[in-house]
Amino acid sequence: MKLALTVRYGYDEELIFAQQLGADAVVVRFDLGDPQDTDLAPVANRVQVAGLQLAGVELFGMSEEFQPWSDGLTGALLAASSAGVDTILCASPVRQSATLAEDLEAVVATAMATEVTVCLDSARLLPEELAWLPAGNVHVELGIGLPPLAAGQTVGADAAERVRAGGVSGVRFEGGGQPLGQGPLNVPGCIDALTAAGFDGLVRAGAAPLLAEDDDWNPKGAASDLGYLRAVLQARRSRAEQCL
Amino acid sequence: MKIALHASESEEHMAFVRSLGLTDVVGGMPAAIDGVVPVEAFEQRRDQFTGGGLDWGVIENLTPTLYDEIMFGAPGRDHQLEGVCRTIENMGKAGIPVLQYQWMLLGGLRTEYSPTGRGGARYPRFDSDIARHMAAACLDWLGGGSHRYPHVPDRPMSAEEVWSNLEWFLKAIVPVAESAGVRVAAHPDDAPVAEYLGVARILIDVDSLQRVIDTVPSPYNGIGFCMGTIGTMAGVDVVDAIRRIGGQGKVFFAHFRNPRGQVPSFEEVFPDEGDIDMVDAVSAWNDVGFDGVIRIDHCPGVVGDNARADRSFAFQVGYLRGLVQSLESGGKRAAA
Repeated sequence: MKLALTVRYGYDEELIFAQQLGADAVVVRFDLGDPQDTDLAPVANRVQVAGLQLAGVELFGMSEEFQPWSDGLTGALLAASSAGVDTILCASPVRQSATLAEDLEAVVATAMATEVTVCLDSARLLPEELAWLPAGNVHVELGIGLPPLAAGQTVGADAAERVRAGGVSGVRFEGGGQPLGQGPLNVPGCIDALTAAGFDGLVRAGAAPLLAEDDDWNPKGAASDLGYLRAVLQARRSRAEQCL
Repeated sequence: MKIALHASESEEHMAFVRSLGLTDVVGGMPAAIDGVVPVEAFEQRRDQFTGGGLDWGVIENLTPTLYDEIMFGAPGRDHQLEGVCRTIENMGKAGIPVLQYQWMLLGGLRTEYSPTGRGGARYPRFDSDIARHMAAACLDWLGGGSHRYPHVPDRPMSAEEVWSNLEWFLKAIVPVAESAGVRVAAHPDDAPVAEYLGVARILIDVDSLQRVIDTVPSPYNGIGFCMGTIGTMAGVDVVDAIRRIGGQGKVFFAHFRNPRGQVPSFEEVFPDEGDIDMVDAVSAWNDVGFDGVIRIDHCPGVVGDNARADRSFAFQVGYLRGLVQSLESGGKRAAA
């Protein structure tokens, strides 16, 4: 598994921070803004020259209306292809219907044509939509700790079932405002279940908790969560090696 | 084990500790009056921590100026010993159960704090070759050079003399500590080199820590097990050392830190990249039943961090918590 830290585009301190704390890669949050002007080449360049791996670009500031959302995503896929970015992460708009297959037709086609993977946030998908994915290069990032994968006895098994169904490119652990390991979410148990199901993709923490006297991007909380996930992955790998 | 940070009783610092989900803190020794820390000073600080929702279980360290003449075997040592004994009694009255002390006559030693680490992080380093050129400049890296006691010695001191002074100290204070209900814990010499500026450094291997334990056999005489320092002792395997010292129930307090290299040169790196297999180490702590306080120790300098190094400490707290929970979740590893 590859451990990533989420950073904001244009904030170089966060790239240095990621490198110092040993992230394998970064996910760069990018304000989609005007889809016509989307240029992801600077994103890729900054990460590359900083000596990091770009695990993906996470889009925000997208429309909550489906068509403009789809148009924006399509534009971002073309920009990603030009910039050599292979993964786009985003949340789908909140929708009332379960017609994802039809609605996403253009996105799926563009993703296939550009060979860029789209990871939709599981927490924003209806159950039937989640069941329909993957579709071509349109995959899922499991938001573990959020519905429908909220913390509970079965969350690890539920996440593993999703992995076995295919199309899970990443997992994101959400601590619900607390540092990972402090809340009810059993992260080591989930990692074990995901590993057993064959998952070997991107792992990252979700929204960093706000710790006392922190800066606006919550670096203390991000550091705690990154350290926690690093340890869980190391322990898991260590146990696996011992079993060999 | 109880994960802790060193904390001041400022509301800001306590809020940070709490926000990490910690409930235990390690605090410094309050100021002494005429060589004795009064019980009221302990109680006041204890109450401030308690009021902040935190449990103060360990004092580190015994302030060097309270016992420097004892360490050096100077004429004023009897007077200082009386003050140390009264201080320990007052700790006991205030209900603070563990006192760490060190026996570094010249203090802690480092030679660099250089941005040569991962991503340009600043790593504290020690290199004996560099230290030889710096002479006194690398003294008391930990204390910031603020103590009045003379680090630069007037004369050489042999290991036998330094041991003699420590044994005299232990034989006097351990019975007092027993009566007071305070466990005293010796921190090893950091850096663990045998000599500096002609003065011997004696707690530089695991056998020397065993000698401290054996000098005055008592449930109140033990070790402050600094993983970082012990990890930099020549030829020492920290996991073995945990099993040896911890297996006797003689670790009263621990420091969590991962170095790379051993004397004559080493650096303090992030816990996930050092020479100690931290998964094995935490597993060993579990195996020996360590249930005391383990404090996150020094840490690398991280970009944009504040003077307390909150970002770097937060990373290490998360890391240790992740190891502890992983071993709980996945079962302990087989003993090495």
